[in-house]
Order: sequence, then structure tokens, then C-alpha cells
Amino acid sequence: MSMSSMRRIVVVLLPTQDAAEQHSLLNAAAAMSSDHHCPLDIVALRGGTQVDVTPAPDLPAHATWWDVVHDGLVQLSTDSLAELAAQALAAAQLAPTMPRLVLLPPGPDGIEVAALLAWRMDGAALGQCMKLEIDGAAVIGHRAGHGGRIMLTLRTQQAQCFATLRAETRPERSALCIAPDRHALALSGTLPEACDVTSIEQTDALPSLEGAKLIVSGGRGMQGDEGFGLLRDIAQRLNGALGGSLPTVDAGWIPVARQIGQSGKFVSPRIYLAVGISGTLQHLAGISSETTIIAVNKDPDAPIFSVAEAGAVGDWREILPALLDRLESTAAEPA
Amino acid sequence: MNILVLLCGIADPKLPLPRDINALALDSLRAAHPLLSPFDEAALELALKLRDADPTVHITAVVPVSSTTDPLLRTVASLRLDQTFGLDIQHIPSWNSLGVAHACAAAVSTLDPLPSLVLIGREFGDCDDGTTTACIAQALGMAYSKLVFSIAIENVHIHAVRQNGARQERVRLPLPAVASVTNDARSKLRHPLLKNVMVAKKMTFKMIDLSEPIPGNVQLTALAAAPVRTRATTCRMLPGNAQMQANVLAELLLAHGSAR
Ligand SMILES: Cc1cc2nc3c(=O)[nH]c(=O)nc-3n(C[C@H](O)[C@H](O)[C@H](O)COP(=O)(O)OP(=O)(O)OC[C@H]3O[C@@H](n4cnc5c(N)ncnc54)[C@H](O)[C@@H]3O)c2cc1C
Repeated sequence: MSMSSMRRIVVVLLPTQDAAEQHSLLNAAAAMSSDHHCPLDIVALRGGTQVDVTPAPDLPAHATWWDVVHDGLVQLSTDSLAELAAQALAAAQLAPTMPRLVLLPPGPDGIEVAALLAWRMDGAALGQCMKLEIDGAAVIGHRAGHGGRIMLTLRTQQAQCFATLRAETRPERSALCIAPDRHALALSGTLPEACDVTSIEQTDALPSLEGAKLIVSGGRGMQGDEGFGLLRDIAQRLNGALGGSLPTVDAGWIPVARQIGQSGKFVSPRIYLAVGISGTLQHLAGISSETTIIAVNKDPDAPIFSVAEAGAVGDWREILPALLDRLESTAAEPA
Repeated sequence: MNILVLLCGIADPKLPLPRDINALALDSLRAAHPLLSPFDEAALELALKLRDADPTVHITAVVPVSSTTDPLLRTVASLRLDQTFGLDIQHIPSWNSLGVAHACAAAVSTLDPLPSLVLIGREFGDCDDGTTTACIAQALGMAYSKLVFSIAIENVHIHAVRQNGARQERVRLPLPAVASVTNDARSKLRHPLLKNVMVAKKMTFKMIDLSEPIPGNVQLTALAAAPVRTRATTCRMLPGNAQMQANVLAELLLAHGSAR
């Protein structure tokens, strides 16, 4: 491959990012780097007050890891992170001697930082991609549109190219993993002024969706708070997290932080119990293809049953109280 | 106080996609069967709530449409806004987020007076994932917050309540500002009054025309229906009455799923 068609792959890790997503992004970037013989840099942004250094995992490709520290990074706002990422990308050590593909973690923060960087650096913004390819001097991104109903294939030759990547590819078992070369990169450029932010006390004590092994999720078919109360009890009994579809957020039965789907959270638990959820593409787009779905729905023709491993056709009003009783009596049984 | 709401609209997601999926067919679907997305609705409702709180608030809406007869203009105007404009950005493909952001920012700069607060749904249309809204704020050079549920105006600042990861927080931003608004129980769009629907039916709308060239550095090379997610084996349907189904469900959940 000639140098002119080579691209440096740069992964920007945000301090606000979930560890599992970080891991799959790094593995996907390493796979691209070894397939296309592209150099791989990892830029891990860290605030001055953040003491714990991100552990650098072994990767199936040679990589250079930059621990970027800025004493002034107190507030982890996206405009500060975008500014710090821009400073890192302009640093001599990472100078753009060749075209770059800059990857950010999926989710609202990653999308925003990628967009801001593309805007400032006159780059191309490929958006939230599910797959990325390098084809000579071009980058090809595949992403969803129309609520997950269509796939767009976008191509750009722009020297600076920005995307977020939600990759479900796992590294091959046989791949030899090596530790990246690790360096510190201290930056001191001006950051945007911090704005006045105060946290609102959390009333929702259930575990968050991130990293949950089991998710109990409800849809419009739950018809109100009463049904969600039962789902909450079942989730608690199983040490699981509670989620829901977009209409349940709009109805006020769960907070938007628990919305799963194309425009909500992407989750990858072992088990996803979907109750009163029809199974639209917009909702399924938020569930990993590796997750086992178990569905409860009164409509035997609901599309959720075509993606579920097991299903119960019936009214949740009858099935959920019986399920909760059974879970409680099983827990009470002597081991 | 002048508030601008930028509303993109989507093609009704309940309708089947055209058999031959191409950009033109998708644009036609949007033009013939437009709806406000849940995020457009949230942005519009937030503007209306701010006007409820202060009747001196003026609301202008700008809606990207291909013609002044687009039904979305009437839908929006029926909520008794002060002004509703169409914005012709047909020449900018919807996946060119930076181009759409340039155009929206250019359209805002034609407004007189300029808005102090710009509200946009967290996704702008059928092909956006949040990139466009962030870039519109950047293009306008205004303070910005994403995932906002509610806003209170205080002189030259706003206090916005927003989602940040798993937690909610209150942020104070100087005006002028841009907020991307998320769906929430608090921002479910109200129904228009019948008399305002009738008034909107008779309205004529103006288009904002943009003459300046719009940058575009991304090309669409293929469009296809998303692959349908299927399973190799059929779903195991649990037999029996609710109690029997519940017993097997409990077994399955405890065997595979328990987070302990
Ligand atoms: C721009 C955009 C973005 C979107 N993003 C998302 C997203 O991120 N996430 C998302 O979920 N949606 C999203 N949607 C909404 C999506 O299109 C669907 O409206 C939504 O997924 C449907 O949710 P649901 O399955 O809960 O409701 P419905 O489709 O109404 O299904 C309800 C189900 O409950 C069943 N039911 C009813 N009563 C009972 C009972 N007593 N017992 C058992 N079952 C019962 C019914 O048979 C039915 O199958 C988005 C839409 C748009 C336009």
C-alpha cells in the first residue's frame, strides 16, 4: 500500500465513556489497523483531577497510546473535551502527516465531540457508524437512517474524517494481543470557560443500563405506572436494570436515561426481558444481536417474537405477578 | 425574548418504505407523509411552555420543506406561533450534517430580530444522529447544551435541566444559546385548538431561500433496507396458563440472566 493512500487511525477515548464500549471500539480500531496496515494511535483524554489512569488493554495490533492530561480540565463538558481532543490532534507527536480517520465512542458525548471536531477541522462527519472501511484514499461508513429502517453507505476522501463507531465485532481468538506503547502528553492550551452546573439528586436507585447483565424492559403495553412497578420489583429481585421503549419515556413511566433503542441507549445484556414491547426496528436497534431476548406480549403475531429466544403469549397482568411470586419463593427456598 | 424552533420533520415511520429505496423516493415519502419527530415535538412544546410562562415571548419556527404547501408548515403554525417559515434545503442531502447545519445557521442569520434562544430536537430529521444539532450550535457560535428537558429564562441566562449520562443536572448558560431538546413526559406536544387549526389552514407561508454554496464532502454510495434481524431457530413459545408460563420464565431468568 502506498503512503499516499494510507490513513492514520486515531481513537479518542473520553473520560465519560463506559469501559465495555471503550473495549469494543479499541478492538474494532485495532482490527482495521491490522487489515489495512494503518498506524493506530489511541488518545485517552483525562482531566487534571482524575487520578486513576485508564488501563491500556493489550490489542490485536501495534498501537501507540497517549495519556492526554490537562490540569485545567475540571469540567468534563463536551466542548472542553472537543477542545482538548483538537489540541491533542494538533500536537507535534500526533501531527497530521497523513490523512486520518478519527474514531470516537458511540453515544451522545462521542457524537457531539466527533461533530465539533469535524466542524472545526474542516473534516468529514460520517456520524454514528456500525461499520467503517478504508478503501485506498477513501473512508466508507455504514450507518442507519429512518429509525434503523435503512442503511446508508457514505464515502469520503476528506483528509480529516470523524465518526463514532458502535462495533459488535470481537477480536479473533487466535489474534496475538500486545501492549500498546504508552506515552504521556501534557497539554495546556486554553479550554472553554466552565459553566455553572449542579447535579439533581437521583431518585432512581436501580442499577444503570450500562454493563447490566440482565435488563427488564417495558413498552407501551404496560399501560401505566402500576405495570412498571411490577417490572421494577422483578428487576430488583434479579439484580437487573430497568429499561423501556420511547413511548414509555414520553408517558413518564421511566426517565429518558432508561430509553433503549435507535435514539436511546444501546445495551448488550445476557438477557433482555421485553414486556408489552412490539419489537419495532427503532427499539431493536438498541439491543445487541448477541443478547437473548425473552418476550411477554398478548399478541402472538408481535414482531418481538421473531427475534426472541423464548416467549409467553398473554397479559402481563396475569404473568408478571405470578413471575414475581415465583422469583420470591425461589429465593426463599433453602439452597 | 425571541425564540426560534428549528423543526425538520420525518417521514411517517408507520408507512412502508418505498419498494425501490432511493434518495428521491425517501424525500417524496417525507414530503407526502410528514410528521414531527418526537424530538421536534419536544422542542416545540418547550418553546410553547416558555411562552406560557412569559406572554411577551415570540416564537418563530423554521421548517426545511420543499414547498410552501408542505403540510408540516400548517401543523406547526396551528400552535399559534408568531411566524413560520419554510427553508428550502432540498439541494442538501440529509446525511450531509455539516451542510444542513451551515444552511440552518445561514437561515437563522436572515431573521430579524435574531433569536436569543434556538431550540432543536436532539435529532434533526430522518438521517441525523445528533451531529447536525451540535454543528448548528457551533455554526451559530452560541452557547450550547444537549439533551435538555426544561428551561427557565432569567434575564440574560437560561437555566436548563438536562440529562448527562445517567444523571440529571441543572446548567446555567448565557444567552444567546442553542438547546437540543430530548423527549420526556414534560415535553409532550399539546394539541392545537380547533380555531387555530382553521386559521393555519388559510395561512400562506414564506420560504427562506439560501443562495450561498453549501459545503459537502461526503457522498452517498448506497441506500438499502436495513437487514432484518432474524433467528436461526424459532421462538420457544411457553405453553400452559399464566402460572405455568411464569414458572418457566423464572427458571430461564434465574438460569441465564441473574446479574449476581
Ligand atoms: C425518530 C424516532 C426515533 C425513535 N427512537 C426510538 C427509540 O430509541 N426507542 C424506541 O423504543 N422507540 C423509538 N421510536 C418509536 C418507535 O417507532 C415505536 O413507536 C416504539 O418502539 C413502540 O414502542 P412499544 O413497543 O412500547 O409500543 P407499541 O408498538 O405500541 O407496542 C405495544 C405492545 O404491547 C402489547 N401489549 C398491549 N397490552 C398488553 C398486555 N396487557 N400484556 C402484554 N402485552 C401487551 C401489544 O400487543 C404491542 O405489541 C422512535 C420513533 C421515531 C419517529
